[in-house]
Amino acid sequence: MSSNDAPDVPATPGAGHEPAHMDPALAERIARAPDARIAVIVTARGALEDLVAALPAEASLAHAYRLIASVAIEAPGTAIALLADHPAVAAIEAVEDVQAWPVSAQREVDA
Amino acid sequence: MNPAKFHKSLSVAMSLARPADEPLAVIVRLRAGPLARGEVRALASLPSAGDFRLIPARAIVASAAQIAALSDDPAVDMIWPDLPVHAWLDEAVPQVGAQRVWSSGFTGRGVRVAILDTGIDPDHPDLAGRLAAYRDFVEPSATDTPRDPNGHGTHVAGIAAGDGTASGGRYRGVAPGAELVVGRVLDAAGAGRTSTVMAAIEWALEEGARVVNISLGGPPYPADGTDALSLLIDAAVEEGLVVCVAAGNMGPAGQTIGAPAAAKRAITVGASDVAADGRERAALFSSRGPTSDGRAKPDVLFPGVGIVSARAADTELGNAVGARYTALRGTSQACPMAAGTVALLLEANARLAPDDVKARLLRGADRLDGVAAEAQGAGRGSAYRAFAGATDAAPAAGGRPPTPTPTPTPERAPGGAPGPRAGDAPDGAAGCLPLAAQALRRRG
Repeated sequence: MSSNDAPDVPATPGAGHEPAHMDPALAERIARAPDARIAVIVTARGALEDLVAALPAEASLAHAYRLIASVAIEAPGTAIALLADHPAVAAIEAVEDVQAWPVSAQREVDA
Repeated sequence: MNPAKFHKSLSVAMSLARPADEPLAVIVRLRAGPLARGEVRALASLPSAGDFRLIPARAIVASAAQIAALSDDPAVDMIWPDLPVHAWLDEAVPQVGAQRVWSSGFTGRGVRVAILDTGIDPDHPDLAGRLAAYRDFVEPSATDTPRDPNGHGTHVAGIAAGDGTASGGRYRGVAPGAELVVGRVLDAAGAGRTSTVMAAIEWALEEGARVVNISLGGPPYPADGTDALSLLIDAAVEEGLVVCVAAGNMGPAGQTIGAPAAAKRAITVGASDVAADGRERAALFSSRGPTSDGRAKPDVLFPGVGIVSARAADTELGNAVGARYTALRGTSQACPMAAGTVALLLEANARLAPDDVKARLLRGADRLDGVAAEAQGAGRGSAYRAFAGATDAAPAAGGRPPTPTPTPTPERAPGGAPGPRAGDAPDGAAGCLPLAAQALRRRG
């Protein structure tokens, strides 16, 4: 996705658009602790500028990406849930942990 | 249970703290060749890597309880752990044919290889003077002084591009002439976050990297390549970056490819090793496909067991081989073999687009007999076979052609391969023990 293929969408919440795709695990996490701040990656439905304009005031921007129209933010769960209903937002996913991939010394013997 | 039938190394392995249901790879020898007659029914139900022809034995994977039950069977004579065998870097690099590429005059010179990992020890003799760019994404407020408090990134960098200075050339990486662009995205515990890795990929591209090594990953298992990190990797490939991603160490079960290993346009690298019977195979730990949307991954295997490479100062990761080197195994170690191979290809022909590079790597792979496609992809990669004809090849496959950048014409010694520097004293070569022996010795 790039900003060049942006459809002309109004940057205001409202009916008549598909809600953003949100991982069920993230939705569940928000439901459990709506006030907790969560790090998420938000992908624009169209232009990145429309997405940035839609971000809630409580959100802190960690990264705005160039290669895909997405931002990494941290915001309260309630604000993320509201953001998912914004027409400028295509998808929201939690920032996941990653790890290095060596096999532990333990498994040198075990494997 | 009859411990008398356990080889002593198996007794050590089984005494180590481990989850009760974690499988153990063992070799079971029978008394009078009853395998063919199927007399040991308990064996038939266990996952097997195959029977041996010269001795009446079978390689299997079993839980501790299943192994104990086997030892009670009168037909069972002896049980050994199926220990890793050794593909030292000095063996693994020739195994993939890198030296034959060096002898053609190509060592990755002028190609920037990005390592997104735990950082780098810039003073390691094998890597000194090779760092073209460094950025700390974990602690961005810190000064950007290169460091690696974990050791994983230094080991990975050494496999891709170490020049073997501290070992008199023994532990030389695949592309010893390449430059390094290092982004620290994993902390001292080897952990990080997808959003940081994404930012680091964009930075690596801006720093002129042509290939990036990503020896990290995470859930979900299996993934489908639609997470943001995987999509950004696909976009980076479109921009001209070759992205090598470790398949993960969640094998031997199928559908264990996570993110970003499932990225559609990445070169997803699993690990190979050599079984007790001398045959190459997919390492047990190496993650298997398919992805959750049914695509084949990994794309290719490279050696990933018992790999000796650079050890960062003041780190304890792996099994130390002298002061300057350490042995590790994992798809983390296989991945930089692929990244180094890509650097060789790109030095040979800078016009190759990422999809051309991937196609060459897969086409040049050696398919491993008896290994399932979902474990080996195209097979075990070969730098030499991927390289063949690369100097003349015109870009053909998809992916945006790379932006032309001035490539210095290197001065090469006859033969092209870098040799040990005058006055270098081998450091890690002395006192090497087989990897398993080291591990066992550490446990007393």
